[in-house]
Amino acid sequence: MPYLEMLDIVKSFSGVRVLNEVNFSLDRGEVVALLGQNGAGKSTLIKILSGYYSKDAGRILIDGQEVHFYSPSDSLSQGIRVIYQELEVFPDLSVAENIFMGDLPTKRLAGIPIRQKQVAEKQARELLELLGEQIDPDTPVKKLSVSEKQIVEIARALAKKANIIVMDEPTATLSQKEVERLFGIIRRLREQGVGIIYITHRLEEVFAISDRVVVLRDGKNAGFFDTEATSWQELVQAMIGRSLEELYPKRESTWRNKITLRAENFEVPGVLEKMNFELREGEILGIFGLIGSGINELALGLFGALPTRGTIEMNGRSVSAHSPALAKNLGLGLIPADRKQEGIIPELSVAQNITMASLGHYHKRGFLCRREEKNCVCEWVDRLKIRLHSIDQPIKSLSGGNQQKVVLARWLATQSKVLIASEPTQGVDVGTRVDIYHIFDELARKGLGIMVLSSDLPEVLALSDTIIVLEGGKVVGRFSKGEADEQTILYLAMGGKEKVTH
Amino acid sequence: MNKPSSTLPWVEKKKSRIKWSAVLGLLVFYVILCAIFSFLSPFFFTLKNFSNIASNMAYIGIMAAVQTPLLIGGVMDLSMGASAQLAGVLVGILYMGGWNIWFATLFALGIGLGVGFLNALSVTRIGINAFIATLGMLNVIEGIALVLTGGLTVSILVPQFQFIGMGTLFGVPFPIILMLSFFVIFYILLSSTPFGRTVYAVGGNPVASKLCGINNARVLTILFVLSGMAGATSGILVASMLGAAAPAALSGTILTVIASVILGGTSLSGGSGNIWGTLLGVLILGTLTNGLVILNVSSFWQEVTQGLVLLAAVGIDQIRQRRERR
Repeated sequence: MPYLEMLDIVKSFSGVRVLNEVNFSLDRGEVVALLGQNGAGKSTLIKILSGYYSKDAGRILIDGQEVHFYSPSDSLSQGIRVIYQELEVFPDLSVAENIFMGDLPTKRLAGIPIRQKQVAEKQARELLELLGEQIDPDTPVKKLSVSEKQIVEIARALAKKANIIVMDEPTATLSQKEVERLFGIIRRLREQGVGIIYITHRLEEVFAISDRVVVLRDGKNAGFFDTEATSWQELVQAMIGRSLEELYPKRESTWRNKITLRAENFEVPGVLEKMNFELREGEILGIFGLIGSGINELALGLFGALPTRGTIEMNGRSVSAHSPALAKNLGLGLIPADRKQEGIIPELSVAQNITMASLGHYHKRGFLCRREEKNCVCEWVDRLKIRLHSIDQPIKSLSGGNQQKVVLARWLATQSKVLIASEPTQGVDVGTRVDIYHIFDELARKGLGIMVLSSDLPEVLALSDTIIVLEGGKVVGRFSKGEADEQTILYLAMGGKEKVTH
Repeated sequence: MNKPSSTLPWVEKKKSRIKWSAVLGLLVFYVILCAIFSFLSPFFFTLKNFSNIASNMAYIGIMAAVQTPLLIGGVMDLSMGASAQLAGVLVGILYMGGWNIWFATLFALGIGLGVGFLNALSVTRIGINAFIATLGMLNVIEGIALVLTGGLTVSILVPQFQFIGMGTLFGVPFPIILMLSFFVIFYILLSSTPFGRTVYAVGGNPVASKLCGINNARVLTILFVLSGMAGATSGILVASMLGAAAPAALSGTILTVIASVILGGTSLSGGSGNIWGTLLGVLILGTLTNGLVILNVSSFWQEVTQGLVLLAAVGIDQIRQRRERR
């Protein structure tokens, strides 16, 4: 019997089922890769395992005993430890202090606990040696590299007697050499009987390190594989093999010949290498890439929110090193990927959020004209079918999908010529997704140029007239509608070197 | 294209109550406060006394009216009171040095503008946190005021100049008119101009506001410059009322200013606030002092009461907000 079993796990958020009778198992000394596209339910499953979410139904067994996690500490006390992409270290404390945070070795002196620096450092050194690493336990953690910080977190997990370690995309920010180092550590952990759940987007790593693979798709199990007995093709098939056709509008290419946006030698230093592309009126240009591929930075860079090199040309004006204010004047609009941090202004009303980028349109002699503003807001609320009680209610009281429509309305109200939509349907319910796709289709037909930068492949495939694939900040593929297929694109985006032939 | 679409159901909306409920609560609190003082003393509830309260609070009110948009914009200006001090001292010194009193006044206003601009530079260009930047500036200009006067009081006894602090217009004391015009102007600025709207955006979510094409640095620069000038105005007012400028007369007033703004319901974390709430905050603190003086309570106890009122008002507001969120 496996050490950990998760049986028929069900989880819904506000009526939407994100996990549907998912099964998962892990044995001691085993590395299981958890694979799936964005939104497949990987992170929800892990959050249930780590006690952040409670499951709606299903059972979790450890050593054959059913356990209930009411909070993260319940999960921790069962020896389950998650190492997130955003490392949770205390930068100003030493390596030893980080490893033993929460229970530093102490002795009591007249009843007052005094920490024992030497003991902590000795124990830390032993733990690190167990992982085959030599890091001075006295160094402040902020002086370590990302990969060393990760090692500190792994050592901390060992100090807490972890039996199961979950690694959430641990290699996303590591160099090739550091990845090798991490794999060495994972093998040592495996020898010591620790079970590891390894979440990644990179298939080559799956084959390099895992014993088994569990694939999730749309919140359901899409396959269990032994790593030795499976292939790239089989795994990719399992990840994407869905029919979401009914979600997407039947698009016919509507682009005209006039180029509206041209990027030349465009580059975001340190993140995105030089690239060239053109966007025509009425065209939807899809940029597909996984998390960390640079799609988000491309969107922000085009909008002038990151330092860039190269030029962009719009309506005959050519600019380099611009600002969001200038981008707006050129006729660009941006739907940022992180709606909460970058999109909405939470305290303000729906109406004020919609008109925030176009305040210049509604004033007379310097004063806002409320009626014009309201008319414009009502028009877009109506056309985008934004559901609300009042245009004066604060935006934070709307659902994620409706908030996204508000951000979209904001740029339509400025009469943008080109819309840059970064992850436009992330965290958006299915109904609103369909609405947004149809709005994009309609806008393109009216001549708007749209860029959809997304890590959701079916979405990119269904909407785009042209598709550019990004991986590691580089363009790794260009396709026009019809010549692109899911497997090839996903393969390229995951770091595959040449096109699959089949 | 912009045909009125009032047929839509959501346009028939109630005035949003949330924004005003905080102000209404303060108003009720103020009325109760006045009722208590009227009950305790026959000298309290008179027109003369209220006109007194407002005149005496005018210089605080002017600063609070401008501190409100700063806090809404997510910054604060601690150097305002010091700017006031410097302005008063400058008018005095320049007048003694033979300047025309109105030129001296204009010059002092200009220095206030310059101080505001320097604050804006250190916050928006260098990136110093506004609290620290203006705290440093507070020390610098307070020091300069002391250096300029050698710590001594400068008298400014010019009848025309004293109109600012002592005169009346249509029977209303001029300080009150000055303060109310600040409130009206900043109310219009905040509620009815594109600029005012962007202040809320910059304070509410600076990243999102930048991605709306708003130039955050420009918005903050304008706010700091206005703040420096309001500080100077307030210092000129005090100098005129007292007929003299003392370099340390206004130490600590900035805390009362910020207390009034917070009492009025403006959030310290930026993005929300209401200028009429600030006016009530100023009046509450002013009335409290006045009432306690009338009741012969020692000034030490007045400090204690002021602190308690601030804690109570903000505490009650926090509890109310937490309830709303549930």
